[in-house]
Order: sequence, then C-alpha cells, then structure tokens
Amino acid sequence: MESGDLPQEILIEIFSRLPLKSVGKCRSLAKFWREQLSTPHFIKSHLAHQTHHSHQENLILNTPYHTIYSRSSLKGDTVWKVLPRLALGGWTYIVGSCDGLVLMILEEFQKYLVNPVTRQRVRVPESPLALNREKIVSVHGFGYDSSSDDYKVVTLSYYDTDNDYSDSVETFVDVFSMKRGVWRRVDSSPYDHHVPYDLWIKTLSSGAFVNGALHWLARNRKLGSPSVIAAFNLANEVFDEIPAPSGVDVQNFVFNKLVVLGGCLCMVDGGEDGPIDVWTMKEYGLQQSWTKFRIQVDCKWDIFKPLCFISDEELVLITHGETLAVYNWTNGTVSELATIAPADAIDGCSFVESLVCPAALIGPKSENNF
Amino acid sequence: MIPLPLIDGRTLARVITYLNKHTEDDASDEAKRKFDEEFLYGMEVGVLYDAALAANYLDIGGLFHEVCQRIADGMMNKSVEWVRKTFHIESEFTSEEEVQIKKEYAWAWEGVDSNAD
Repeated sequence: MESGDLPQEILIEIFSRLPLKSVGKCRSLAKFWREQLSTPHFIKSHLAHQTHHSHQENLILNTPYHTIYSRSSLKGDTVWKVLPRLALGGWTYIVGSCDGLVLMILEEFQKYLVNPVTRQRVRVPESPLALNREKIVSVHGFGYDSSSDDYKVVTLSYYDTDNDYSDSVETFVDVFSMKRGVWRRVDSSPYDHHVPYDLWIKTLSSGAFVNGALHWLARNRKLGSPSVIAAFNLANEVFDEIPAPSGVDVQNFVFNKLVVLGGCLCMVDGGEDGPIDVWTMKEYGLQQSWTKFRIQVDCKWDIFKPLCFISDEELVLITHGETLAVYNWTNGTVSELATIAPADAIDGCSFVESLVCPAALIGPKSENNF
Repeated sequence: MIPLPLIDGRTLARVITYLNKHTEDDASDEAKRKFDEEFLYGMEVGVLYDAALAANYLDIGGLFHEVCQRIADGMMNKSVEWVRKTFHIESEFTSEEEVQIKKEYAWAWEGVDSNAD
C-alpha cells in the first residue's frame, strides 16, 4: 500500500521510535506534527521506547572550567559538547539524572534542572525551609514518582557539628514537588547521615535513584552504629532500609559509594590502592541477589567510581586522576576511553537522551516559595 | 473511527506466520527474536506498512511494535523533505516560520550531514 495512507495514529507510533534528533526535525514537518510530537504523552512514549530499544547512555561531566556532555555513542568517536553556563559564577555540582533531566547545583545552592540535549533548563526555587547556609551540610537527590507522575528533588541537611560521630545530629528531609512547585519538610530521617568533615570528599554523595527511591549510605542510630542503605521512597516520602550484601563490612560500608549501573543499585567497595568490588543488586530488595565483580587494576588508575556500561562487557570509570577509563571484564583490562576523552573530568553521571522539557514540568509556584 | 482498508490475503498470511511462531509452546525468547529478525529482514516498505495496519487492527502488540521500529529505523538520516513526500505531509509553514522552528530545535540539526537536512 501507499505510505501516504498510513493513519496519523500509526505515524505517531512510528515517530515515537525515532532517535531524538529525528523527532526534533520532524517537529518542523507541519503545525500538526509540531504539536503532536511535543505532547507530554508523546514524550513519555518516546522515552519508554528509547530506554527499551537503545540502552544507550551518555555522560555529563564536570571539569574545573565547564560542564561537558557526550552526544552519540561512547564507543568509537564520541562527540563531546560544552553545556552553556547556567549563570555567572563558579562551581557546578552534578547531582544526578532521571529521564534525561540532570539536576545541577551552582555555587552550592542554586538548583537547576537541565536537559543537556535540548539545552532547556529551569531553576528550581530555593526552599523557604532551608537551614542557615553557613552552618549546614546538604546532599541531594532527584527522581521520578510514578504514583503521582511527579519529579521530585530531595535535600537532606544537617547542622555541621564539631563532633565527629555525634549520634544526636538530626537530618532534615525537604522534598520539592515539580508538579506542585512547592517544598515540603517531611519527617526527619531515622538514620544518621552525618559524616566527619575530613571524609566529605570521599563520602558526600547524591542519592542513587532506582526503583522509585533515592538511596544513600548512612548509619543506624542503634548501638554500634552499623551502616545501612537508606532508601527514601518518593511515593510515600518515608525512609526504609534495603539489605546490603552480606560480604561487606557492616561497620564501614557507610564509606563506600552507591551508584546505579544498568538500572540496578550498585555498591562500590574499595579503590584507591586496591581492587574494587562492585556489588550489583540484580533483584531490587533481595539480599541474595547481590552479585559481585572485582576490578583488579594497576594502582596507577586510582579509580574513583564507575559511571555506566558501554556494552555487555565494558564499564566506564572515572578516576581520581580526572580521566575516564574503560574496564573490560572479559579480559580484565583497563584502558583509557578510546575516544578523545576530556581531561580534568572530576565527577559526573550518566543520562539517557529524552525530550522531557524541564520548564513544562514545574507547576504553579506560590509567591512565598521565592 | 478511522476507516481501515481490508487486510489482503498476502498480509494476513504473513501475520498468521508470525502468530504461529510466537504462540509455539517451546519457542524460546531467543528463538522468537531470531525469527523476527529473519521475518522482517528485507521486507519491502509497502509490505511493512500493510503489516503495521494489520497488526494495529488485529491488536497484535508484538508485531506492531517490531514493524513500527523497522519503519522508524528505515527513516534514519532521511531529510525532512523525504518524510513529507513519503507520508504525504503538507507543510503550511512560511519560510520564516521554518527558519524559526529550526532555530528552536537547533539541537536536532547539530552535527548532521548536509544532505540529511
């Protein structure tokens, strides 16, 4: 039959399976298509197909001078682009990503939600509940709550004290709902998220988003302060605990790192002078499903943390030496990322390409929120 | 209601072949994937369109998805003009509006081969 006879509803289905750039171009086909390919429903549908079909992840990284991100595959010739500055001013911290949106924090407090591909961005308002900036430590997380179809920013903060291991330090939990455009303070965390100042560089980290929850490593407040994996559920906005692998040191795994690789929660143990164990929770919540693989490398690599998979057997890592490396576990080798890797990459995360528009997500804001 | 042409015998036969494979008790997922690869390989575009319509009409999700993905893959690197011609889409944009839209979605045209404009 003639292609021109295909009904629009089928064309929409076909377009929702196109790569991002093609959809962008198709928006210039006609007014009808400009609208149809921009609806929230289409964007969601497109995102679902992207995640399913291509499994491709891109990287967004901080260097001392700017933020860069990759377009196209990380295998072979990666194209790196510089993200236009959010605003004048200094250090930008990458919190994490969800559905193609990246939460970035400028100068420690100004929060922006950015789609690196479409370059759209929106400022997340300051929390009116925020504690006195001079004296607090904050960590953040960003994720999607399917029960309310809402993206949320979560900030954990506590007053920095001189006591290294004070168990009376309260951790406040503030949640920003993109849909409603408001911050709320929910119940404080039952866990102790406080870490000693000298360990900030190693341990202050963003929430790892997987399975509808943001995860941090913390300590239980009970006797002996054993480490826990604290999971903040975005739907009911309360903390719970996820079982850790039985092979890690329960007193000290709070100093490990949590990352999300291939859609699974992973705990990274080691690095610096020794081998790195990457534990992957294959089935969320099931302790027996924690599976370990070991990266045994030359200490010259000084691995900081894994970022994402490139293929079934290769993992991209970022090093303390501010370079990107690739670990191949079929032959156990580490090499420099085979592209012109950016120098001085300090930290970053992976993201999927999507059409999600940050400004369209943010709901009505009350005057009081500014 | 969208009027659909009747499904012709040839297309129906293909759909039945697909269904027979996918409802086999002892066919593994891997075997089904391999079958889909071979089944769709080299299928002419006109046949794909027929299959898409048929799968949609008969509500055969798996086949519909595979065929739509196949058509989408075939569109990669084609120009906007090609898409308009192929799917009989009329553009009412003025040339200024076209320039405006291309600016708005500049990211879609970044790093693209000039002949795929």
